Amino acid sequence: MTDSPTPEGGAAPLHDPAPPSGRRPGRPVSKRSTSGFGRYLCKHIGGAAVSLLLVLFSSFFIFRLIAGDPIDQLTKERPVSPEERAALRAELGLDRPMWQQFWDYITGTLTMDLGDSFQYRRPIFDLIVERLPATILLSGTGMVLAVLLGFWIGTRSGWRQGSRFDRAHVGTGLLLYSAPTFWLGMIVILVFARYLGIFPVNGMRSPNTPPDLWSQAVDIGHHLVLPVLTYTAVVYAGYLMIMRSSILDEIGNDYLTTARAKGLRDDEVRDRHAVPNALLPTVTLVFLAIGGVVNGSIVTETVFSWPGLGSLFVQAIFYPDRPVLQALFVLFSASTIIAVLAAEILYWFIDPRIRKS
Amino acid sequence: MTTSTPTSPRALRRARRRQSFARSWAAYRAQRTGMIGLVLLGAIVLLALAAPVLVDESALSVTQATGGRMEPPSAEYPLGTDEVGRSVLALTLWGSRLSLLIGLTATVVAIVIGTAVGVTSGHVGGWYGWIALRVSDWFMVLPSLVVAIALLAVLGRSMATTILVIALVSWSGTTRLVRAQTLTVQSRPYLERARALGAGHWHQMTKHLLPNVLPLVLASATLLVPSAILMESSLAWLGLGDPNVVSWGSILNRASDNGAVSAHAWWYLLPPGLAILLVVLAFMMCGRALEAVFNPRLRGESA
Amino acid sequence: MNPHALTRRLLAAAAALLTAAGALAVTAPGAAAQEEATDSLLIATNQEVDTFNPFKRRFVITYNTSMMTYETLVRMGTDYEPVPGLATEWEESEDGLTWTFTIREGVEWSDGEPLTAQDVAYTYNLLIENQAIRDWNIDFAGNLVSAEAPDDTTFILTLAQPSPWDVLTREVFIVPEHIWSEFPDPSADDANQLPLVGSGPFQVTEYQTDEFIRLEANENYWDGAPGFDEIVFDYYAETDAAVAALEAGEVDIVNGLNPAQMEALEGQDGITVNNAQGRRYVSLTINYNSVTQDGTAFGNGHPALKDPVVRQAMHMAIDKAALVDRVLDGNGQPATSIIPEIFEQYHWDGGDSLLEFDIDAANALLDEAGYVRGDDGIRTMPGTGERLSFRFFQHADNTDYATVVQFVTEWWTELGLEIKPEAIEQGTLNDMAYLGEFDIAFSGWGVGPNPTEQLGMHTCAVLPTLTDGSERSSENNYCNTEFDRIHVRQKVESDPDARALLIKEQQRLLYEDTPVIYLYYQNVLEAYNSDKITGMVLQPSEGGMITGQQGYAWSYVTAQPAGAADDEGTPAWVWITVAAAAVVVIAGGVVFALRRRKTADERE
Repeated sequence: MTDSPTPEGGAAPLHDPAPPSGRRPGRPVSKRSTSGFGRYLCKHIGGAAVSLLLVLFSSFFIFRLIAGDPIDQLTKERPVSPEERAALRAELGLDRPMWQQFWDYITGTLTMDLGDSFQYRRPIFDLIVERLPATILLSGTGMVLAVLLGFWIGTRSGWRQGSRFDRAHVGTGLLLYSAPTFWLGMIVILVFARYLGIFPVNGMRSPNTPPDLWSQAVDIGHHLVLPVLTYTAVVYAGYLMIMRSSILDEIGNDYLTTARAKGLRDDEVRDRHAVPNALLPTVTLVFLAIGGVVNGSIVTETVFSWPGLGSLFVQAIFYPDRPVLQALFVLFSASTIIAVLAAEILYWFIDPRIRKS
Repeated sequence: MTTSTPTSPRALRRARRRQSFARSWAAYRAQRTGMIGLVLLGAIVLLALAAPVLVDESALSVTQATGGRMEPPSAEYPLGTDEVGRSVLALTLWGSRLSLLIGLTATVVAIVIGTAVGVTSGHVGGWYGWIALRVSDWFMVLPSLVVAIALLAVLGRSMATTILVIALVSWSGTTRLVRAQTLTVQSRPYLERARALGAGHWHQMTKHLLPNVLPLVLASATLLVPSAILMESSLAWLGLGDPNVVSWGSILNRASDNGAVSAHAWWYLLPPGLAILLVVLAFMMCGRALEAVFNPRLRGESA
Repeated sequence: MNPHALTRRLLAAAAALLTAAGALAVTAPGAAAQEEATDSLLIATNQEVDTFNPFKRRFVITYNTSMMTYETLVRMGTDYEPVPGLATEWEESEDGLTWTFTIREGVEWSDGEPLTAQDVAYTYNLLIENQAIRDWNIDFAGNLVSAEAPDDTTFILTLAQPSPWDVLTREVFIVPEHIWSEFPDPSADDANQLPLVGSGPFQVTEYQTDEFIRLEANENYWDGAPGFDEIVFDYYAETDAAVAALEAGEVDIVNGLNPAQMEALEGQDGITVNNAQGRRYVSLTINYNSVTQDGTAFGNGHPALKDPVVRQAMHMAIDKAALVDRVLDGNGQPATSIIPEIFEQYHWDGGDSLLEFDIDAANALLDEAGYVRGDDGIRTMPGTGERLSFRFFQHADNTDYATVVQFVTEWWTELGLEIKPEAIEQGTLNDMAYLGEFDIAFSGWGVGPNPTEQLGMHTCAVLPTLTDGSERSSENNYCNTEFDRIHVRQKVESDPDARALLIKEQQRLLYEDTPVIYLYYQNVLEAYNSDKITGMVLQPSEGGMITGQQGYAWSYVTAQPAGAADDEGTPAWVWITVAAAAVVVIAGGVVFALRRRKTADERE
């Protein structure tokens, strides 16, 4: 989701508000369906479709509210004749009536024809296809690391609640979680790239790297270290806390006592019995995280000038490049909506209580 | 106010409230991190309030600035200077006022919206409840930073729009929380009794539902403030804040725009960032402690 | 097991791993960087390509690539004087309507075909006959009547109105007819496909969005093959990254530095910093006269701004030298009017009209004119008593402007004016400005070697006819018939010195009428790898710039490889450090985990 802890929880809710209804962390609020899977499925798909439709419509109108004539941006710093303005206007399709632009937008978006970017003068679809891998590489790597690290530490923290390990890790996690991503990024750049000079300042590739696969991979890997470090540092605490409280929920349960009575070692009890049960409620979270990968790192990408979708979005805001904003807004929102839907569907299979009722 | 309440039940209620508050406070006090957070927070708020006394406002004036361009720390400027020669210490101190103000106001706005929608949608139900639920669900699934950036670009940048936008992307969580709690309280016997006695919606909501959801709301508010502060600083740093005001985010925006990283001007980057970190940390510590107070499942941890 | 023994064993394993990783890392980047046969000139850029079509390009980056790929009949010299390009000589007829150019013989296109006057005529005819291209270039093309090539070396251009400077300075990039006549639509953005065919020193051969633009040297260039084999514009989204790349030897020329970056680069071995006068002015537009051609007033500018005394007092209360000093760190010059100091011959120095920074005198002016201070310290208008409270709009994305706003606001507050600064988006600011709904707003333009375009924005002819803000040709609706009269004369004056006098007179009028307060001309801060490049010719030749050249890419064409060793990229020890750090972290984790397991066992 976003880099800053989002109050609604999102990808990495640090705190679960734990309503007294006894719902567990990370579980989507879904009113229990009264009949079978089909009905459950229809309800959630319908909800997601309505959300998507709302996003599609609002995206068109929100960005049309941005003031200013796009022509001014395209002809910046140069006096322009009225004829030239008119020519540009026609070329961008801005001279057509609003309803027609709206119709083109809707049909275009549905057929993956997203129009041309104002600033790049290229199909937005191509732009997105070019930049998506960079985003997935950065936030995907960061997310996987954060989840693994968070779950690993969280399990051990929760299992030995109050121990030195627990306190040290919860403290460190909270500290990093409190740091603004962009600031942490700047400090990391200052230390590792400027003072020590061992990592590139930003970007994803050095120009003039030999074109062979190995050199390219090494180069990208080299550029990837600092952004991933920053991203992981800021978000892993969320997963840590969730896993920790999930383990805490399991700790008093009888089945653990039974397992111990069978003579299993403490860490075997933890890893074979407690962890699998504790993982269940976090599945949604992982799904949300996957949805968040697409727009997961606007700030990180901007600090490190990472050529992904997040920095494209910020760039488009400042241009302002309306067609790109429209498309990205839809893409970003759709990816979370679909991830939430997937999590909800998955929940049917995981949580027997939903089925029972 | 449908029934006239005699003094004694009201006094009774007040006493009960006092008692429950004392209980909560005792539970809170037992948590060390919570107390540390509270003390830290108190200190920061005190500093922010005292900023005009500690450093004269003229320290923010560009025409009266005496320092050089991005000077490293010295006796005169303990934290160095910015690109026009103002003291970074003074800027950071003054910046706390706006950052806290924006964070707190945005939270209050979000909570008011969230609670109002949550209580009414839970209580009233029907079409209104369904629509309110869908809208808040919609806001919940939208990526908040993306929405915030887009809205700021549309609405223009000023303190008011920043507050509004942060509140807009934050209210839905509170709604969900409050709605769930409202539904639980609603099914309790005493509310049925109140309904049977002819209590109106307004009475039910203000006298029974609201007091029951408020503690929870306050606990979650403590966790909303730090995320609002972080979001404000991110937005300001991206260049979507009002550049004519001094907040921690806008200081960092100027620092990075003026090449503080290239110039190795760590004294310009560290103080505002650390200030954000400390405030956020303090709020989180308090929030977690409060959460433990209201949610016994978590109690005992981090003690 | 003794935990210490375990740690030792793990450390040994880590050391082995580290050696392996190190060896791998050393061989990896080194091996690939061996064959550096081509001399590349690497220039950092961050601007996307709009179009490679030279008739439609709008951005600086494509101006540069067009200027190197193609050529003009007349070049812009190193001191902005017209010098022969594809034309060896030219002649203006008595009436100024017919121009005869002699086209250079023996010039070839980069594909080996000969370049003749037919190509020139074809190019100019595109401007005349192709409606889209004509619209695009209407300010120049609208004045063209015919373009003919009676033989291979003669080109005759006929104009509707005499316009010598337009003909000599307008960059019409000559394109090859044998290629362009095949294009279905020469006005399309993607009309000319890569690799481009041109007659200039370098041709664009390859472009990857946000990665690079590659231009290969034209070995058969009639003016001698350039020193470098290729020019590559590399994309660095942030100047900070470009600076670091310059330090690391990964890029050779970086521009758009800010003072802090400049300072960081100054004095570094092998890096030369170039602090050149720029072509840009930054100004404050005052809404004193929002009227249409027929005199209809529109907008809501403060009435006090109509009074020249108020504008003059505001002008006097701005310490431009301090702005240059504090905001630009001295990298600029206080401005007088439109034309920056870099264009020496047209720049007007203010002469006797120059106002000194004097807040007391400015206050005295306002006192005299009857603007008395109210109880709140804010002056009011004589008669109506309206408070002098002005909205002050700035571009929200420019932190320099925010600082300028703070300075100016503090000064003007001392004058007893109430200033309400507001940072707004560029688009909104433009909308408000053209609707006349502002009091004071930031503005700024880059000025070309031919100032006609910029001066023309202040003539009565471009006043809007509508009040809806849709016509955006006039800068601040300035209209002064005397200014217009001189403007017409300077356009047709063939003698450069006489023309310069006229242009200075125009600037004096602008300065004294104060529709706009010109704040400063910003320097261009650039740096290059002087271990790798020598011999770059600057424009202007003394104290000029490298990257912002006009009319001909003197610097890139004259740049010679200095023959210093190329940097191999990331040094091996970096990789060893990285690998070591990774190993230590992993080993630490394992040790920790094992120890945890151990204590857990004990607890059982």
